[in-house]
Amino acid sequence: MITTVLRVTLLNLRRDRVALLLTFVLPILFFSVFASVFAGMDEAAIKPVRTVVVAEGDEAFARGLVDYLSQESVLELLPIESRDRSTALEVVRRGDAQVAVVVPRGAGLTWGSNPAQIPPAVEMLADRSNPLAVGVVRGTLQAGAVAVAQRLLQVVPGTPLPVQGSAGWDRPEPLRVEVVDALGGPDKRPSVAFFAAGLGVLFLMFAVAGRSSILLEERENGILQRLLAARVGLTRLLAGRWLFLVLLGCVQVTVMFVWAAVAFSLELFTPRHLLGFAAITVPTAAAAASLGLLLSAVCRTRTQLNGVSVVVILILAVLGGNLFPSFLMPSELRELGRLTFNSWALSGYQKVFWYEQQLPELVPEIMVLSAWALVLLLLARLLAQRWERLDR
Amino acid sequence: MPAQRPILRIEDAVKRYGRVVALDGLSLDLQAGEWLGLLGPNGAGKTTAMLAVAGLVSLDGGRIELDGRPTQGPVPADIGLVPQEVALYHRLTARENLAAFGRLNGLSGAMLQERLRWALDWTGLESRADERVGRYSGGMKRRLNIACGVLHRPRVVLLDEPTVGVDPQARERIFDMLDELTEEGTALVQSTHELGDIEGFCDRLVVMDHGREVASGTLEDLIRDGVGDHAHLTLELDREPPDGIVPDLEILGRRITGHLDEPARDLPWVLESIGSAGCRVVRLEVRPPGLAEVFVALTGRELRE
Repeated sequence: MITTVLRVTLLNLRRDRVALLLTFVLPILFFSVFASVFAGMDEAAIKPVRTVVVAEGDEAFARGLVDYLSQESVLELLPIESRDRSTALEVVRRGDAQVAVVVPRGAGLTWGSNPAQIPPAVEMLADRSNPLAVGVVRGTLQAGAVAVAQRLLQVVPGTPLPVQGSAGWDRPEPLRVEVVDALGGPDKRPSVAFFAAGLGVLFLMFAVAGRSSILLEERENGILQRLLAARVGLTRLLAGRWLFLVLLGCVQVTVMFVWAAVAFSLELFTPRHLLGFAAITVPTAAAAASLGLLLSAVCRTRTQLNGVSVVVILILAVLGGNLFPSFLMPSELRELGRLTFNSWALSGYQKVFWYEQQLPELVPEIMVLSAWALVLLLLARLLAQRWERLDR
Repeated sequence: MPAQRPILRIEDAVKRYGRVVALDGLSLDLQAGEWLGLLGPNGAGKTTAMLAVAGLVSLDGGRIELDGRPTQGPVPADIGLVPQEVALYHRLTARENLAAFGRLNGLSGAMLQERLRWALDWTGLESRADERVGRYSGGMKRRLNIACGVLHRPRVVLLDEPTVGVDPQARERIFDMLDELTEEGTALVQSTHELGDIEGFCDRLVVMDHGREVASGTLEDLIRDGVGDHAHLTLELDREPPDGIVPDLEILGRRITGHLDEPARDLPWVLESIGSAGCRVVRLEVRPPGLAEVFVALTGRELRE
């Protein structure tokens, strides 16, 4: 008896391709994607940090430090138009560099210095959205300071500095470094903006894929036949559904961000943020709606749609950076992620809520998202042709 | 008197799905107010024929005319389609479903409201008009399903197996509703493979098999032309009769079945032969031939094969 039940269940599973896919292929696929991301994490963490360096003085120590930093493979030193603190700060605020190092006049080692004349601190104007970058630059600065001091004092690398044992040797770091938030204040948490956007867009994709199943439901229960017989036309039918999904998506993402604003102090309720939010949310919802329609046009049954949409959306979410910040990924995956529309949505939200950028700077994201929305919608229309005439 | 122009004419319709020929030169005419039954087993081409009329399937050959004009491309407004499935939004109420399909079929304003009232009255669903359709019984859903297809007053209504899965009472109710439509001049084409759906309701029948018409006419015509006026006899005896007791009838255990060409003449002789063999009749049934026999006679197979 039990063996018969077992056999029937086994046969059912063997003939259910979606179940087989979800049971055996999907876990392997996800393991592979996550393994690629996290196996490459160490490497990714020391990927060159985009940095600008400004030396305010012309002392040998400052020059040596700049020289040292420029040779470090963990840093990618970007050129800067004007070598002053405010320009450097602007470069970080624009998101071009993750850290700006400002070496003040008179900077030097704290070790061995007179307590009354401790050298001024080197400033790190940092974008805290990537905490790894801050750590990397800070460590490199300390190492660089020691190396420069050794060179200036003509000490063979590896041997103690001649100042060892003198006053100030007990200070924890050889170089005084002050980290300054280039973006926002201490209350501003980059993770809130990231997760509101990441999870908001992820669930937006799930929601529209789920709701777009109504097309398959209509096909399965004969309503599509009735709609086509009523001369609605497939284009108008898809347009109506698409519009609904776009509105649904906008409302869903708005609810998520309002909650983030109310409960986690995300700065949403200012005209600039609201405008930026709307400018990114509408094309994001449009692209997600088109994706939902495309998925339902590709699939033949609702069961198939459920399976396929889980696979596609989770892959998009991993590649696009919805589940974890893209700076954790190996560069190849990060580049691949740029091909997903959701990565552009996240980048747009980051620009609005973290980098405080204005509407003109959001144009690339808006354009790419709109293009995705159009392409996916056209593909969905093309594939749905087979529904139009029931003999196809 | 000149012949009335048919409201719907199908001429030599051909439709192929790959190697399968769904319609193989089907031709038929339909007059206003006529109720035509398309009878045939699954795969006979009934649904394909209806979808072709509704403009949802393109023909590979032949033509379809509605009121003398060939139909091509978009579905004509004069056609109402009632799909085989219960094609309703189950989370919407009856009123909301009717309103939605009414609007999609071009109704609005006072006309829509008037037709909504008519449909709810016609289907007998007024008292539950604001209830979700998902809570309705099968018969109620079927009635609403038909109403959504006829709300816009089409001149031809295509009903694809409109009573599948409903109990006999609900079916009677549906046929009464359809009868009202034909009285108002609406022409109906109803497909079915259920004989009970056709017998006694349709004005005319077209028997289809392998995409072709194999016979057409009234039920009486079909019976007379298909199997003649014989009667079908079934006898059950108290014990097994000896072989050859009633030539031309089939003996299976205690049961005897067969056709009687002239029941009034042949039945007394059969009963006498049985009595003389010492058997007693426990049950006797003499039935006139029905569509089932006609179908077997015309196609050589049962309707449900």
